[in-house]
Amino acid sequence: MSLRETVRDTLRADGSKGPNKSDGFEAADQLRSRLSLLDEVLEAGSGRFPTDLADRAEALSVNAAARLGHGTSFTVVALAGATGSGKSSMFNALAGADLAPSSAIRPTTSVARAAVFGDGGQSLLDWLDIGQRHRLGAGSGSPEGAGPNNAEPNANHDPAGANANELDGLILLDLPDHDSTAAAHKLEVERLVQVVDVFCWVVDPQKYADAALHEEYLQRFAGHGAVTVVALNQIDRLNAEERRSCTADLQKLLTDDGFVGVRIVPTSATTGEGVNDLRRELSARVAERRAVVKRIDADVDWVASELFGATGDATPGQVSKAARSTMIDAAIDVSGIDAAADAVGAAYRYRASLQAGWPPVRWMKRLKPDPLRRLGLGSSSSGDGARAGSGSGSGTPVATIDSISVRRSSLPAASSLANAALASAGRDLVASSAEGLPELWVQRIDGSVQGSLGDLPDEIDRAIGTTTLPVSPARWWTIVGVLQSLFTLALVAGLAWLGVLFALGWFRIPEPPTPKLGAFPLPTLLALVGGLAGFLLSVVVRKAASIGGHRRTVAARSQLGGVVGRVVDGHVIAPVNMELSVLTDVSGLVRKLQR
Amino acid sequence: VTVPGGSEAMGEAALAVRDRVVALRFPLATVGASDARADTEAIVRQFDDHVLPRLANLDAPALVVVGGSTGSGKSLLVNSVLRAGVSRSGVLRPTTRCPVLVHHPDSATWFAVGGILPGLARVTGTEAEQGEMGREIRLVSSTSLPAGIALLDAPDFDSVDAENRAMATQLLAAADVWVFVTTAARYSDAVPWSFLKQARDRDTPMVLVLNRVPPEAREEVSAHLASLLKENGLGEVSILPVDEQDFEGTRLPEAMVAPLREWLEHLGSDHDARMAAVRRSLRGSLAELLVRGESLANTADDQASLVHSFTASVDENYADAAAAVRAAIAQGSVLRGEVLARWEEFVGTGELLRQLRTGIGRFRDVVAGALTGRPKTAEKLNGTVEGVVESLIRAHSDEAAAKSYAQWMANPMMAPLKERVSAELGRSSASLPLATEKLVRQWQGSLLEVVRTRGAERRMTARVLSLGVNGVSAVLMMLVFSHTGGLSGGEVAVAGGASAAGHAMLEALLGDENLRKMATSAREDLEQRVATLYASEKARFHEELRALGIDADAGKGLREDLSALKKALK
Repeated sequence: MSLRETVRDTLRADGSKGPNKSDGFEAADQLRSRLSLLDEVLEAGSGRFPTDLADRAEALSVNAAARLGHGTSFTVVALAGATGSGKSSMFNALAGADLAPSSAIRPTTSVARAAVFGDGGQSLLDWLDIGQRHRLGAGSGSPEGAGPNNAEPNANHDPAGANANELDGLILLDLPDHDSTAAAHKLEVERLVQVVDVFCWVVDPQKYADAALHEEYLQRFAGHGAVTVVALNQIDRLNAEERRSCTADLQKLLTDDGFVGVRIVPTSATTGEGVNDLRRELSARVAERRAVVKRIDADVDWVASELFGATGDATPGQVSKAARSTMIDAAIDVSGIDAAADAVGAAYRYRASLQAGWPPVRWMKRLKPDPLRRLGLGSSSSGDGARAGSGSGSGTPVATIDSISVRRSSLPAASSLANAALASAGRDLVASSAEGLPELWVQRIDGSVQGSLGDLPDEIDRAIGTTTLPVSPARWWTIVGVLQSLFTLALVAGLAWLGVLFALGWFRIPEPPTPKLGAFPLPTLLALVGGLAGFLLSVVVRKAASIGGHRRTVAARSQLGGVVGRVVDGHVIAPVNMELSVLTDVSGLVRKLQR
Repeated sequence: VTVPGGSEAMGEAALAVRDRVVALRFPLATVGASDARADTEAIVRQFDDHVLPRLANLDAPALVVVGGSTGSGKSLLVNSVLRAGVSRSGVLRPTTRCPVLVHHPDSATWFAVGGILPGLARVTGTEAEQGEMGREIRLVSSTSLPAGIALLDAPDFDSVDAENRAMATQLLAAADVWVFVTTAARYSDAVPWSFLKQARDRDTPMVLVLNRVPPEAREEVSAHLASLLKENGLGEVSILPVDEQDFEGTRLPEAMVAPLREWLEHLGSDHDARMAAVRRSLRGSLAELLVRGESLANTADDQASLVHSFTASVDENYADAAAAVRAAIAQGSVLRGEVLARWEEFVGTGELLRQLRTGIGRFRDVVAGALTGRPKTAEKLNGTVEGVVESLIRAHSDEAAAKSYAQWMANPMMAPLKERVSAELGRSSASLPLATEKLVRQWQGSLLEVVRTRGAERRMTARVLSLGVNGVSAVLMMLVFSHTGGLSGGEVAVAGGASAAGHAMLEALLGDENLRKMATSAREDLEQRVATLYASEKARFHEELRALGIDADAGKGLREDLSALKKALK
């Protein structure tokens, strides 16, 4: 049976009051959804609340589920108070039987005992872990119920049987004191005040203003006013005037504690005065059967306001664009990809000049190493290509290198400056995204960022390692290369021709007729045009290679930068954003829980 | 009993301890610090309220403080003993708010302002206590008390009224003798027992009134209370039971208060008995103060050592930062990227060589720069080096500040600092960028100064200067940053070549020996300047720690004074 059904069934059993009934359903449904909301908050926010608060909320959730599981057919009322205020006497007076020993020796009661009115409730008592039980009323009856009753001068007491009908469904607990030197008593009280349904604080004229009562209990449970009754006991010791002023003073103290509309019942357990009032008050709550829900509801209110205090009013956003780009820039500096990008551009220029440069001076280029090889970049095939190129002297083999893969080992190690900038970017990221959040959350975000920054270089390394940079030759290299060859051929042919003519002239051998193009002899024209055109073309090539190289550098930088950016996004920014959105969810849930 | 009458030595020793305790500060949340703070106040109070006035005048009347729980009937008891309505009694809790001091007319001067309890103002007049709650005592002169004692009706120590509790605690600490009032309903409450144990530790002479006892249970309850007292080492305390009264009057029956009155009259009239009680409580107080003082000294030591360890960690962080800057320079981190590009530009465009060869280099550059609007390459190089060195210094300063700040914030014991210290502390100071810029420029300036003087010695001034001021400093800087080598990767060739070129050039200008010395001293100069800058940065942290007002020797000094007091006690 689900929690909801349990609550509904137990509420249905009490069908006497029409309007209240639907109220009851609504309240129980609301409580059910609030409790599951609380569980949701605790699950989503696990590790994000102070441990003691999370533990308390967890305990509340567990206790509430367990208590609701036992149904609302019984209402647990605890008589709590200081030593000597008359809790046990009141217990006996309400039970109409001498069940608990009361004595002048302080403290008297050391273990809680229960009086059960009606049948059943064993499992609930087991859960409450109450060993001493007295069953009163209808079914089982209580043989000892009527006997000792007469010994006491309890003139106003109803007979035990009448009690039982009126209070059917009541489990009355007599708690130990909370203010004596016996620490174990306080522990027992502490345990039980977490789980009872109704608090009946028994105070007396001597002790009603004690700090131990107000500061440790009443102020703490001030939100539970709906399930609290205060009995001002030993009222027989005061005269009428004193009663009035004493009750008024107590009422004022309760208001100061934070209670709203708590009823004070003046009683005297010894004379029996007011005991019936208290019994009526309790029986009304028992008959209503809503104390369980009200109490847990008040608990949830209380824990919700504490949770709200821990989450604060902050509405975390996401990581800002500025913080993200600062982080990426810092990561790019650390990664050293600029060197690789520069080398790509340089390699382009180098190869362009090898293939499309002016052949007469091309050989000089070969004396310089390939920039990519200087950085130790490129695959083995690129190495072969480069070697083949330098060996043969013809420009083509270099063009076989289409792409290089970047290994981090080949890039310059990050300078301490870059590392410091990365750390600083990390701090900025935390500061900007965690601004205004509670300390614990700032710590979480800080921990997440510090953790991911630690292995960020390795992550970038891995990502870059799988990246290939295009360094394929441009098509115009070949065309220009052919042109350059033609021009050089013209130059060489022209010079050779002129050389032959010169030699013929030297040896006084009559020259063959030299063809002319317009006014110029053809060989001269060939040499001059070939040389000039080759030189001019090489100037153009150099400019074009510079532009192309720059483009390649920019492209490589943006490609590698994109890789680094993706790593930073996935490895640093995303966890922070995730944490931030969890926090948004949690604080939204808490706000909802708080109503 | 060894307390000599008015022993000045002891008075002085006690005053020394008191003054030492007043000066103690426990701003950090070390273990027991909040207790120590409260205890400091309590100890000083006890010196002022009781120990010092009593040491000054041992023969003064004994102060008997009537203390107890709220609702235990203290005021009724006092009124009944005195047979006069000096203190209000009633059913509203707490009833007594303003303490009432009843004394013999002869000893009025002793109880007026200046003697015991100097922190509390005195008011006179009857039943004036309905007035404003304040830190004051109402003085009532009465002949129904012997001249040797005064009776003080204290407020309760366990009601919701926190002021009452504080007042009661203070008054009980100032007492020579206690009349401790509890009731049949109260006698096993935790709060009164904490006071009883305090009295035991202080060896305060005491009588215990067990009020509101149901007559039928008198024997039973008295016996139980006696056994509890015995269990707690208070076996010699006598119990005076007073029956629960079913009456509306303002006095307890004579028979009920007679034992207490007799006890008080004996104390007031028997000089020896009174002196014994006074000395006993004084000695007990001092002995307890010695113990409490010792624990204060320990806590003070904890605070001081925490400050010390955080001072050390700040020092360490900045030392790390300085070391990182040094390492970055030594490993040639500066000679990367932009700087290298500018250097290549500088060397590659041949400007350096041109400047070196012709004396007109500088002039031409100025003209060219003015015409083209482009900064000269040497200037660009200088600017870039400055920028890199500056950001190097700044980055490590940021790092050290952030680390120190985080260490402080992460330690829960430093939590009180969080309110005082702004997050600004976690960054470098706002003036750092300017200071760094100045630092680098001054360093360059001193570099040039060295070049000039060395050059003058070697009669190279003209040639050196022909290089241009910027040119010389650029080459020297490059030299400093690359002299110890250690470059990695592909930059070795370039940077090595560059520095080799620069080296060769300056060697030609200034000589090999000179050059090595200059590079070393320039680097040391830079390190020295960075150290000075970081010292002023970390001073901000030290200042915050100093502002806490923790004296490193407070614990030691207190211990010395305590042992002096101990000696005086013997």
